[in-house]
Amino acid sequence: MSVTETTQPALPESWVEARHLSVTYPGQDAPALRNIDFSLSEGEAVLVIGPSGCGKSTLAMVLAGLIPQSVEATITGQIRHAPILQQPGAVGYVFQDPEAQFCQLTVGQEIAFGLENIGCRPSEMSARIRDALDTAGLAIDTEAPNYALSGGMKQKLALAADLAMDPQLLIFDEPTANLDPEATSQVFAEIEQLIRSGRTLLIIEHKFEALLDVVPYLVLIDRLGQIRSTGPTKDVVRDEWDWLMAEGLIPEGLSPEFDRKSLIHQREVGEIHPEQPILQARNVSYTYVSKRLGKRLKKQGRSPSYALRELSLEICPGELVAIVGPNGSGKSTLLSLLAGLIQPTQGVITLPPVQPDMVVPVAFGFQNPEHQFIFERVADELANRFVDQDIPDDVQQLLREFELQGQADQSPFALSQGQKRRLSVAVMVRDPHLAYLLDEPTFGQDARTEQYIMARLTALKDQGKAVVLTTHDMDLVWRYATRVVVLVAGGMIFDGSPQDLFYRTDIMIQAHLMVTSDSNHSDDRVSQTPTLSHRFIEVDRRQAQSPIGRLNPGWKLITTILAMGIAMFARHIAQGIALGLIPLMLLWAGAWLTPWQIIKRMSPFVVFFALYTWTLTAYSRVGPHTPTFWFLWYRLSWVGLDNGLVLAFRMLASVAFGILYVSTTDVTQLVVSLTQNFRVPPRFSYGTLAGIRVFPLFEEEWRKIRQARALRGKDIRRSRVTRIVTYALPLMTQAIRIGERVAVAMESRGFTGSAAERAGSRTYYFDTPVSVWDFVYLAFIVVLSVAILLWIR
Amino acid sequence: MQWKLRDIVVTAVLATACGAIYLGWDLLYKFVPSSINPVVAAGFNGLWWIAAGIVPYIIRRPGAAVLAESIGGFVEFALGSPYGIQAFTIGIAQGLGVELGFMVGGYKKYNLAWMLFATGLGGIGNYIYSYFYYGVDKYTMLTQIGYLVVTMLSGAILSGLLSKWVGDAVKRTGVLRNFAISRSVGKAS
Repeated sequence: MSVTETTQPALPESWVEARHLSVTYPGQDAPALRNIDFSLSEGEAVLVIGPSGCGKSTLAMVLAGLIPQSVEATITGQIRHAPILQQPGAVGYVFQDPEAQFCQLTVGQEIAFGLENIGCRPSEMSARIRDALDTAGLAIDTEAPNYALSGGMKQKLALAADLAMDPQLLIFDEPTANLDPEATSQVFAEIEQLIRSGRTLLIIEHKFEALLDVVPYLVLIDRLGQIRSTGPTKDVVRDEWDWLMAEGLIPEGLSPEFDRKSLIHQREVGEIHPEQPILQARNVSYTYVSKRLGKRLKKQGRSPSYALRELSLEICPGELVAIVGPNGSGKSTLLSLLAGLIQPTQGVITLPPVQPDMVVPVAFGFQNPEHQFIFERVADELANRFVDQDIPDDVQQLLREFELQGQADQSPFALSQGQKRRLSVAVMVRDPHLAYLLDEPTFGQDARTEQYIMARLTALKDQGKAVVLTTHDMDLVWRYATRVVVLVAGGMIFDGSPQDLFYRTDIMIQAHLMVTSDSNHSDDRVSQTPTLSHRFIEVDRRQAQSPIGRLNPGWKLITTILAMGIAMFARHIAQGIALGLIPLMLLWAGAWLTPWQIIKRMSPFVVFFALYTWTLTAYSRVGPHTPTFWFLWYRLSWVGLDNGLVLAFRMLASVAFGILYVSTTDVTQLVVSLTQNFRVPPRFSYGTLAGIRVFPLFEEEWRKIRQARALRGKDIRRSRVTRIVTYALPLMTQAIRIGERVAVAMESRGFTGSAAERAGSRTYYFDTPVSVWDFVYLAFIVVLSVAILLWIR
Repeated sequence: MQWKLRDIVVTAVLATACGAIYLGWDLLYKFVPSSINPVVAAGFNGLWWIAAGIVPYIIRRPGAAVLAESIGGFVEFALGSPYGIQAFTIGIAQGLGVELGFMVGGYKKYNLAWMLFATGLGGIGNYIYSYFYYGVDKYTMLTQIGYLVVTMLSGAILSGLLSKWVGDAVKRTGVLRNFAISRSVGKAS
């Protein structure tokens, strides 16, 4: 590692070298990085830290070559990459957001995607995928769908996908920002392993304390995007301690000889009034399984899985309660129940009665502050109504208090992470409430914003309000909480003071709250699978193996569309019935669905067939001598009924052919087939697949946004005009951000140049061959349909 | 005018979301007086090609309307639309109609008037498809004309106006900085 301020020229063997490098994003005046002199050589491992928004990720993306190739920015100065880093896949990049760096549906396909880009031979792929999974410490089947992995497993999968391509340089861009402490320590253990094995690494990390012992070199970047200092980690930390503290990179109260125990005793517990609890939960259970499905499960002798079971809790004035536990343990569910956002499946939640001077007695803060915003202007958001240029005094004061001066006319969505969080807390505290519930309020914030928010919440607590929050950050618990509730798999395993929890290592380990020495064990929690969205992504094994399931997906689609086109010419009921029978028979004989399954899948559409029949019965054009009947104001005719029935049967054929296609075709295979067999540029086919894959996230987002709206009081519900936009905005901004990140992640894995342009320039993990049977099927359908039209009159 | 990977992925994300909206619209349509009068029902049609409005408005590339509407239609079909695979094929027809509008503008015009015009043309795609497939050819001439006019108006409002409204709001949030919508200050929107 040789970073030079002014002195020596860079060593010739350095892999990346930047000189006087500045980077400016389009539309921004100030550069994100200024005058960077930096070089990285083989075998070095570097940790980069700095306040949030200082340009750490920009530096990583320039070094990876993603700027300016995938992300536009203006670069001045020089950046030089050694030839060894210029091949596709030579730089592996693990991104911050585990949701936004995958573009395929299963673990195996995901890792293979990179291998396909670098032209790896298909026969070698399986072995390389296995090796990469082993090295990344992820013991999981290659067929596993990647949406079902936990956050920690997703980050390991991202690492495995990079490792498979045998990268020279690996970059970790805040890989643990979304992970619980246990998963974080797993990722850190992986990083340590990689450093030991002599890999070249660049790591950006917010919660970096655990890495200081591991990573030999440190780079500090300041608020302006300049390198402040570099060198061996220990020296830099010692020399720059005061700066690190001043920038809020190290939380107050930590000293170089940091002892967590001291945090607990520093804090004094305020006054608690246990005699009159604000919120009460008695024997509360909650399941996301719908009532209908629950009944069916019961009949089969199974019980639905509970997100929470038999939990009792009382929250009193003057308490600051932290709810902790591993990802998926029910923390957010408990918080939503306490807020009255969802109703318990069993048990009782007692909320405080409506107070005369309060809109709602309980305020709720979402993990993603954007969910809270319903206006397009910061000032309106703070006022909770449209205000014009003359901003009311109380809003002015809030702007000052929350350091949002000058942002009054901005869109809340355009603020920085920290500003958004401050705004959402400002909205919560604007009106008086009895209890304040917050879902991960410090998520993604730097130490400075975190301290700011926690100070506000502590003040509320001291005023005799109740504050309940969920968090992954145990330091926050030790420092601020008066009480901790530990959840594991929907059950409460601890409820007491932080002091008591601190000595219960058994509970801490059980709840993944502690960095354990044996942190490499595999984590087999699989998160809840969304319902609707995966209906079209997964195909039953039985249908996949049926004769129609084995046909080429692209040609099968063409056959299906041809069949529809021919059905258009049906003019008689008999023709319609006969055409409708073809796909129904095929569903049974060709796709191996049972008659009962077929009836079940067709039944929702019966109403529609009736509707078509009716519309044409009432509105068909009739000749002068055709008998018609008046019913109310409708003029019904037998000719019309006939027309309507023909259309209804054509629709039946359309729907049945559709079900036949969907229940036998895997969407990934369709996409691969479009490229392999029909030469669609991979950029379009794989890009589309990546976009479709993002969809399941929307279900969750949509639910949260609806809840957030319900909490803002009735005056908001009345202003209908803004409604569509306020619903659409958080969804759209999220969709676009994720889409962009996915695209960058794909390009970071070598999806550029001819591998993305031409179908022939990449290899394929699995083939979608075209066989003679595809044409037999096509000919069979076409000939049969035409024959029916010609013969049946 | 080159498609970047980012444009394609975002097209697919937005179109997929639209596909889910279409499915909801399919089901809503069932409870609406579509059986009272086809001309009244035609007023609902426009929303079914909002993907062909919102995506080209943001991405501004040749083929954006057809690509987005095909993906949206395919997702609607695959999620279990009561129209079966017709949801996909009519999507292509609607997308082609809108595409024609933007093509006439040389893929440079995306102001309000042009958005209304192009998405209105989507109604013609819808009409032609429905003429051959959904029995519109069987209606009386007056009903057919009413159906076409209302469908086009519906497209201009539910697809065109709504797309521009939402698109502009999203642009103000700053997340579209890297997309064509943000590069054409002054001449387009």
